[in-house]
Amino acid sequence: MDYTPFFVTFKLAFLTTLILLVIAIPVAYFLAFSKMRGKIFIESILMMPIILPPTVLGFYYLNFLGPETPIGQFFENTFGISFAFSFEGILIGSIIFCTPFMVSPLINGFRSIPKNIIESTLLLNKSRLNAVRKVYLPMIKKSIWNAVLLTFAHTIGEFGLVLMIGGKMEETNVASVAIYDEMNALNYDTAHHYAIVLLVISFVLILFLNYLTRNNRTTIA
Amino acid sequence: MLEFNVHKSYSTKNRTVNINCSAKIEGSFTTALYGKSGIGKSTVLRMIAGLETPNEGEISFNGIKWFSKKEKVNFSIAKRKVAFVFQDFNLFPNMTVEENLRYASKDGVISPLISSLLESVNLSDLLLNFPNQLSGGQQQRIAIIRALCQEPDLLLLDEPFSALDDESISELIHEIELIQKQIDIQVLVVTHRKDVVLKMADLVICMDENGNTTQGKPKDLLTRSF
Repeated sequence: MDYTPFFVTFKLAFLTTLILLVIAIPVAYFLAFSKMRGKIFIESILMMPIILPPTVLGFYYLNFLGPETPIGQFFENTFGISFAFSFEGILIGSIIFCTPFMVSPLINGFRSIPKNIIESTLLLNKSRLNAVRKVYLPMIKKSIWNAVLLTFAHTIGEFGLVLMIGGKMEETNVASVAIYDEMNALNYDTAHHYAIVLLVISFVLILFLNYLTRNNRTTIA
Repeated sequence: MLEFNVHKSYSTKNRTVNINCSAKIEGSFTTALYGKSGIGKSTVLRMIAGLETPNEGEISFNGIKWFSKKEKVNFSIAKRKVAFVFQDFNLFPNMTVEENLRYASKDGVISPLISSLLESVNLSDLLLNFPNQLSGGQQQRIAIIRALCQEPDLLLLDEPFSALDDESISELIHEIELIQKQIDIQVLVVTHRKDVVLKMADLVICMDENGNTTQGKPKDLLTRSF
């Protein structure tokens, strides 16, 4: 069995989760606390991938960033980066597609912080950055774990979007696509090996997620 | 001396609330802001702290204007140097008592004064506990001491006794008096309980539904009905 698809899958899941975590914390903070009008539209756009078919997202992605588009050609010619049929391409697609799974638990976490706690940090003359770092983030630790695990698990299971954006290249051949290819080639044993590994990993991730949700010791003291 | 004359109105789903309150507190150690629930006592306290902005009026402390609508003055919370204790959720649940106090202290160092306050109210042994390991009364006492870490000029208490039983209330009042004796700080406490006013305040500001405020000695005023 070729283990490259697993390496690609976990590299994709790890980088997607890491990059999204860094981006999502300030975005979720803004969406949770900002009083800006029209915030609901921003939130709705970010949450769209939950219900949007991956093929729709893949289609528009290729229409904006594909090799035939002006943006795609500009990046290809200037920086030598291709946003389609490359690992960078499936990474960007994956980040867009997984945004709601990272942002939503974080927004809920920030919104669950009691108003008195937030005002206490103001009364103690703490800057917003200091309050986020020292008080808010430790308080929403469980929401952060939820967001990280959901995003990681969801990236592992991606299929349609990766197939559309990544095509059939070695660097974009994730495990879920490899199962599909092996099935088409009638290599059922190999497909089964890939599938059982993904099944076990998915179960362990969901088990851990449920453990975090149910175990009182993981809640904030 | 704390002097204020503030007005604020806002609408909720069910009603429009009009808050008017004026008072001049001079030479008082502990002042109670008293009135029925929902009359706007806490909002007045929040306006003094800078957590909310009045629609009209002025607030000044020791001759310095903190807020004036006319003169377009509005000091930030930091500049007002007030300590504020809410009725609940004061302490940061992710930190121990010691960490809460260090976080509130300048340069992260608990001052000798705060240490002696902890000792005088018998809380020194609880430094390593998390807030959820403390009783309601202990949490409020720690919250008051934490609020004093910033060396404030004025201590504002917003219904600090609402979640406590009668015994804990008496203890907390006694300990607030102990703290006051050590650091000589003016206290303004919001409460809807007559017994609390009579026990701890030497001046009371009574707010009524018509937007009138009356100021006087608790024993003189609280025999009337509000």
